[in-house]
Amino acid sequence: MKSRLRALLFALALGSLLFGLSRGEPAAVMQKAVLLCLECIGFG
Amino acid sequence: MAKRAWIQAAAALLQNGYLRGFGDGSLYRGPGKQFCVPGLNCYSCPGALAACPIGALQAMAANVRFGLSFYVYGFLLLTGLIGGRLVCGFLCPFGFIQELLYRVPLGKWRRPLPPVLRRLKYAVLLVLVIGIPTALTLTGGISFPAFCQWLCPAGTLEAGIPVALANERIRGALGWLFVWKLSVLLGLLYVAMRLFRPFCRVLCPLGAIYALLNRLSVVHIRTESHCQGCGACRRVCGMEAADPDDPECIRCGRCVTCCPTGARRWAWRRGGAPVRSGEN
Repeated sequence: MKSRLRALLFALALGSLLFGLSRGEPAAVMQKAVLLCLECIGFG
Repeated sequence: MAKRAWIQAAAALLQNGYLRGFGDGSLYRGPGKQFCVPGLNCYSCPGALAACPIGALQAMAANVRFGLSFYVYGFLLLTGLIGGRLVCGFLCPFGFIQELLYRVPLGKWRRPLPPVLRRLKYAVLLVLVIGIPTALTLTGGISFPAFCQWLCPAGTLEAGIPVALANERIRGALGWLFVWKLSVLLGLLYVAMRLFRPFCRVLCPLGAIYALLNRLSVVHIRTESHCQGCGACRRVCGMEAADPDDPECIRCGRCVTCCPTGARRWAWRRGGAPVRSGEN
């Protein structure tokens, strides 16, 4: 039961990752990550 | 220094290898920032070579084109299924900093942590990382990374302080929010000298995600059938984990090293249940 759930979740994880890659999410992550995050540094 | 501490130090350096940034306060803008690191490491740290997964989740929630980030959730699910909280024990820079502070010779708080505090990290994940950023984007199109803004001490330590030191204009513009975040950080650092990894145990939303996958992860620690139930493993566990599959277990391997009968060992999980759940 546990191994089936694990296999299912592995498939879900890989599917999500590939779907995210295919629609260009890494570029959106990068767009945020290359700029100074004012919230992170406590600007306000 | 133990082998694990060397791995933690190497991981922290590798994730923050853009040394020029520490000098002039600039950020790395290369392709590495498309990828997330597995641990909590602020992407606004001047040394950061990749993105923080918790920061990325909140940023993507505020992205009108994507909303839900399949990429980041998929990455976290995959990482958690491989090792559970192994990332916390070996790769997280902020966890490593807390462990170093725990070595400071100051009286330690040995009382067990109340269960409600240990569950708080799930509330932080649901409310500050997922709930508020998603709700504000859906209702008003406002980007609001609540966890980064209100709570994240890693951001203050790794980004806020170095950037403020290197950049005079930013230093001059810091206000009440920075004071709040600095207070949270200093409070946590003090507690970390007396309590083992308090942020990881009580507040970390990334630890909460991996904790949910501890019982399913492929890499785990197994209790063999010849365990005599002496309790040595429980006594050395800084996280107060009931057993190696407990959501609190960060797979640090202390129980493996201390077990007098060698009944604890690292293992790959293929089937369902472990051989035996022993005393701890």
